[in-house]
Amino acid sequence: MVGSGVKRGTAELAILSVLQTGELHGYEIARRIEQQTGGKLKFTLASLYPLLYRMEKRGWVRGEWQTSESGRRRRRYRITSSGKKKVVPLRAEWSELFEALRQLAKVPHA
Amino acid sequence: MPDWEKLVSDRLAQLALEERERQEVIAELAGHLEEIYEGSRGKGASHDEAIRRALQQVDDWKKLRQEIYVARTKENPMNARTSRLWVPSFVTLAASVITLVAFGRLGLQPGPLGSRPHHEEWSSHLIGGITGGPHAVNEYTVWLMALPLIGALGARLSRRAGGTLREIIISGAFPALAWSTILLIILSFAASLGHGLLEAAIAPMGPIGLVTVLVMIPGACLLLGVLVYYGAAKRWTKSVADA
Repeated sequence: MVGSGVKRGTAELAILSVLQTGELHGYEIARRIEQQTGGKLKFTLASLYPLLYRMEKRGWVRGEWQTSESGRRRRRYRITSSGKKKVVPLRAEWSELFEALRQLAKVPHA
Repeated sequence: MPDWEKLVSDRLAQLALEERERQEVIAELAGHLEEIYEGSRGKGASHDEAIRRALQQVDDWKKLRQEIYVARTKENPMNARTSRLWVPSFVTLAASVITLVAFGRLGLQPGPLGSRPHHEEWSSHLIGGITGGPHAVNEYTVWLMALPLIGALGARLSRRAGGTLREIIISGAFPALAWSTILLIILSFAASLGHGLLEAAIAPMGPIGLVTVLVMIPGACLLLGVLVYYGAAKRWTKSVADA
């Protein structure tokens, strides 16, 4: 059964997926998702950070301040072990949603 | 270059978080806007256009403020530090005390932490426990063997909650830290009372022996468990990621 939090779940899955490739700060996360989805999925600052903070609270990601070579301080996020475990059920839920939509599309109009 | 921190700070002035946490949020969001501004400038946008693009990231600052507040405070009633550090630490402490009492009740020979034998027996039990002498199997030595498992348990609880390496180590080795504090308090109290109480308290092994038995050796056992668990968990995580 597709849960009510699917929309948020897919956004969480997108973030966890890009963080599986390595540590990124918020702007890089948004940019990476936009690039990898060909611009179909975009995060604004307003949509990204409340979600990141919620995920951090749940222990799925962990943010740490780091200073870059240029001297800039940025909070870089990494996926935690519990975040990695969360990716599998989130992917299943996402696939289920799209399978359900595909089934609906096959139903001929009356 | 606009002062992004001031801009964000003005708009999130009523963000009801602790000041340090609020400043961190402001710095992080300001950094994000700065990246967008510079990215736009790099693509040839004018100063005003780059600012406009950055500010387009947030339609409603009041809504964002509320969402950040809820995300950082209300969703999980347990404070992040509590779940990463304090809960695992107290579980580790409780487990270490419970196992010590349990081994004593199982009928094992009392060691230096059990019933209070005569002074000379203290050292014979400890030496026996360490060197494999006649009292090699007593509650203390069996307990020491259990401590790596307890340290690993604390490390696992902390890591599962997203703890940093420092929080993981502290969680696993917390009982040793607690005992060192308790020891310090008891010895200070004994010293303040006078009447030779301090000397009586440390007489069996002396201050160094007491610290070694109560803090250093248990701490090393706990730390061993933490490090073994942490190494195994890292390897497992890497193998899952590679797969």
